[in-house]
Amino acid sequence: MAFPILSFIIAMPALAALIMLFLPDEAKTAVRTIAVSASIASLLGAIWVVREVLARGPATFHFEERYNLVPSLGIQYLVAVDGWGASLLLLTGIITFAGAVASTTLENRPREFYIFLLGLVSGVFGVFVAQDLFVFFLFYEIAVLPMYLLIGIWGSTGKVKSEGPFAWAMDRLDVGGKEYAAMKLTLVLLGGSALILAAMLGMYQAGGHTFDMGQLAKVSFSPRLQWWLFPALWVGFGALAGLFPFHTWSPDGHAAAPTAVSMLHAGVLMKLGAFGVLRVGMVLLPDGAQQWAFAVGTIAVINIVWGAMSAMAQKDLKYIIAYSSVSHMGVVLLGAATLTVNGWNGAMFQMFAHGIMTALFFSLVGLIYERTHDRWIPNMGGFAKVMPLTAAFFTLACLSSLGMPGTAGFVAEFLVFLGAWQSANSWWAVPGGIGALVTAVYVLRGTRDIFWGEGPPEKFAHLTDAGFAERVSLWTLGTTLVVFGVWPRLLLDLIDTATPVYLAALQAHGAGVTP
Amino acid sequence: MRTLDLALISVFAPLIIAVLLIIVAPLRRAGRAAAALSVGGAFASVFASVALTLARLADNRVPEIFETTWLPEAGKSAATIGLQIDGISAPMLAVVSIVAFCVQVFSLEYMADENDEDYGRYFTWHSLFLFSMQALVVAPNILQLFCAWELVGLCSYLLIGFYYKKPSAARAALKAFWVTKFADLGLLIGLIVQYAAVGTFGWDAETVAKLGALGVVPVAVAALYFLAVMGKSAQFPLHVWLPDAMEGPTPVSALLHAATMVAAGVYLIVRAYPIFQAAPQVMVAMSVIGGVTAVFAAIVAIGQNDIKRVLAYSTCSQLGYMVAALGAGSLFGGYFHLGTHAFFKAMLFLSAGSVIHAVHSNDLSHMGGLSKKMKWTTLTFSVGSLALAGFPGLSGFFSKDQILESLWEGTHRDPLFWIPFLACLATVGITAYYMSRVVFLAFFGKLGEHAHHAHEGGIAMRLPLLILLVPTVIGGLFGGQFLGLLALPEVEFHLTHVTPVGVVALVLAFGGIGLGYVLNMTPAGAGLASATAPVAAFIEYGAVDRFWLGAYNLLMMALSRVFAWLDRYVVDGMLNGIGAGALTAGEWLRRFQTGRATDYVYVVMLGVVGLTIWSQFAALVGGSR
Repeated sequence: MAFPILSFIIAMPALAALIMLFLPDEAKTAVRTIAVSASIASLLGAIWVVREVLARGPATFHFEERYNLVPSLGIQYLVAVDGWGASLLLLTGIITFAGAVASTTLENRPREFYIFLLGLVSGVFGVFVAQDLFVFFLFYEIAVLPMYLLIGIWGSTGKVKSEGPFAWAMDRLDVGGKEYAAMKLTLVLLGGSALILAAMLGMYQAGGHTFDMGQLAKVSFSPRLQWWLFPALWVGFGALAGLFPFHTWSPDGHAAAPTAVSMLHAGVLMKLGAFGVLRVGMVLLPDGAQQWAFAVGTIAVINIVWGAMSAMAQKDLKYIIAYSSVSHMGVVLLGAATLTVNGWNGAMFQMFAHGIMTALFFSLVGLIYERTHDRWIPNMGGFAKVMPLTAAFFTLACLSSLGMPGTAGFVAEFLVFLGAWQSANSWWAVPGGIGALVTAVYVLRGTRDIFWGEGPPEKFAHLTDAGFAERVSLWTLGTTLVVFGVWPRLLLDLIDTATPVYLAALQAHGAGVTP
Repeated sequence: MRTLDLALISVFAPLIIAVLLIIVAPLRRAGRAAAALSVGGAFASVFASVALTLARLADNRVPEIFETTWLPEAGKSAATIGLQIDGISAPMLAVVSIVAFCVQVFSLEYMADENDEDYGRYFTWHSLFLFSMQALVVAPNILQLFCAWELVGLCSYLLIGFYYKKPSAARAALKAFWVTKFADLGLLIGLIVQYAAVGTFGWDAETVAKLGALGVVPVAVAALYFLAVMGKSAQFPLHVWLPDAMEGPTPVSALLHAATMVAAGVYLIVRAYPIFQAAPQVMVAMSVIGGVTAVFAAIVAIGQNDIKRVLAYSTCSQLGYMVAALGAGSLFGGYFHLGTHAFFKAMLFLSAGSVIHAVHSNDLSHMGGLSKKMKWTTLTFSVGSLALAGFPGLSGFFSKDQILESLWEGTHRDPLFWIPFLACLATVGITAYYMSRVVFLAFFGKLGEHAHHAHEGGIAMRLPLLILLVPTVIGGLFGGQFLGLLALPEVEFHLTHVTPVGVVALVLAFGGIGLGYVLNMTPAGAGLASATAPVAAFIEYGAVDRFWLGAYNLLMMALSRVFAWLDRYVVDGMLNGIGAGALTAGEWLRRFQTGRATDYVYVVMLGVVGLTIWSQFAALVGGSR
């Protein structure tokens, strides 16, 4: 039997977490070493998988592992990987490595922190390779739930003024606090999970009592059933992808979360949602996807513009980045809604590009916050003088964010807008482009306000630039952004093997979709 | 060497240096070493691109295209990346690299006061800038051109904001980036529309034929492309970023205004000319906008007292010329002027840099009588000004003549061309006036207050000026060879060819120079000149700037606050409302959980009574049916 590489990638972080359970609290160095080693092991595994999938040829699933878990219900442990899954394994591997390295500076209970973090990572890896819907859902919940504790314990608190028609509710809920943020995030995502579960059971029932996604893809669900199931998956998964108007957990959650958690959450977890919409929603429910494409795309466009405009008005550094994630995840959903090769390639590429870019952003923001204990941009200025490397990487992240060619962000946005124009609703490309323009305004304005100008204010004159661990993290993410932006085929060749297969199956089901 | 090798050297030598300097921080921080590497890279680029151009002059039959897939689409190639070497790209490569090389050499001394770190950073961006522009020039399709186009914008942003500690520089850098980025949306959407319509990003005959058959599509595509050109090449009303871009170091302005940033826009038109030709309506609009820009910017230039701002508006105005000519169907005129202008404008800016370096001021009123202190600079600036004014024999004379001729021919086809024709003709006189004004004010007359200790720069500052002087003086003589590269059999070029339009232009040019002397060097004229200054100042920071500032404040700043408020207090508010509502409802319902047995019995009794009534009522209704 071949080496179970996928299970190896999934198990490494979990195994590390398990070992840590038996370590004493004081063994901080050991904990950090184990965590970083496990992340490296998974990353190497992911790189190997990517190479092999490219070499072994297009479009089919590789490295299948199949064990019956609950035969009476048809539940199996079934994992396998294709071009889509492999590219997201790579993303997760890179961000986990960068996040694990960046968190080595954490002093408050690192052992517990890493246990939750690595448990979450195992879940993420699992989602990207699971081919059994039940196991998919299981991994999904494993990935989502630790967030509550990670934010609730290691988070930071801000203050939000109560006003407007819902001031009474805000007073009651302590809006801005880390407990509030953790609770809101968990409740919204669990609400989404409930919808996913319902849709999943519906498919199980109508699809002949199997959770095998390969089998389910062959089932022709009635268009009427799909019309009901698709929105449940769209909203359910979409809630995690920052789908408007269920996105408001994201700014508060990301602002409250500690560095590595924001990196992983915005970098990878939000992709679980988008991946779910695409891989489960659209691929398994082709008619539903076509019936709802207009709504999905139109809301995605709202996401792009709404997120970008909201980001523009923020003065809290973390909120800017968090709202920008809402905007950029809209690009993923827009790509998905186009139902074109370019759009889907772009959506997958944007998951990667945005993942790396936002992880870079949050590691920089965390780095600044750790030194200043301040997130309020008007208090900052002239930081480039004392932290030039940070300024340089921040600018790089901004450039990817606004879609500068030469960074991964451009390739992704370009493909999505191209797909949007080729789709049934060409006009989607226009607000998409406007969103990119607005992004250019708010990210570069932020850069100027933080880094440009005559020297930092008195109290920040002592700030130091990134340390060794932080540099490793920054260079890893920054280089990835540029390398994949200059030569996108490293990833696109992989994604592009899977996309036409899924899309052909989707088009076989319904008429009226442009190729 | 093979064409491919030369092209690769020309494009990638600067890139390799830039990447090296970005990654190896100690090398960059060493300052001098970084500068030496950067200049070396530029020199390699000059060598290779000149060799390419010479090879093209010898044999210009087939364009050589090297490309490979960049973006796959369902296993096929959606977009390629590569190099297109032909009669259009080769000479531009040479112009760009020569100007960039001269600017870098000049900067060696001009920027010597910077600390090592900033010095290294400066040259790093210069190398990146040169690469970006070269990649734009050799682009075999509009997508690669767009990518390089954005990188050119990025490098401009980085260099305009080089003095990042100065708030005004920060503002100028952002303004340049935002205005051009706004316009670039046109290019982005345009090329998407083109791809969706014909399935390629190319500009070859086959693509254009397919595009031309699609009715309104080529018009939309060309109009969208032209929007981006207006941003990049500073056409009215998107020119507002260019004068502010003076916040960068002066050699940067020389690069920006001559061969890179603003040249990119005009080059796009040249490169994608077949697409524009498929949209005659856009061509006419282009010509009109070019003409308006030419005369508008020239009028504004009259009143400027900052030597760099005069040159900035003059660039704006000259770009208007090029665009007007291209719109009138003269590929040769527009492109030729782009080339000659690159040399003499770079020389003018570097000469201005030399002056600023000597007197430590941009203000014309601080200068005066510099010809006594700085002979070389006086020579180069004066010759540059004459070339700009269209003095016979100098390079600008020939290219400007071509433009006016083409506009004159345009008036026979479409009366709308009278607008750009008259505008450009008037601009000849105005240009001659404002340039002679600068020359007289800065270099002649009595010694200015800052001019006493002025002296010529060292060899690094003089050499580039002299190199650029050569093409400025004799560049026009090579118009025939240049025309040969473009392969336009229907166009003719004569060195000695007297036309009515040419004579009128010449009269206007001499009139402008004479007026410049009278108004600025005689007591009688001084009063008149100062009387017109407020008019020019009014035009400058007038409605156009205020319009864009207003749009920014309203559409970006004010509207974003509305969005953010709605997001926090309505969208999220509803979620909070649900949460708090659930809590409140829970508290209210909790009161029913009293724990007293009697309460529960009451409720059970109530239920029994209710059910009984309901069943009776239901029986009644059912019975009556």
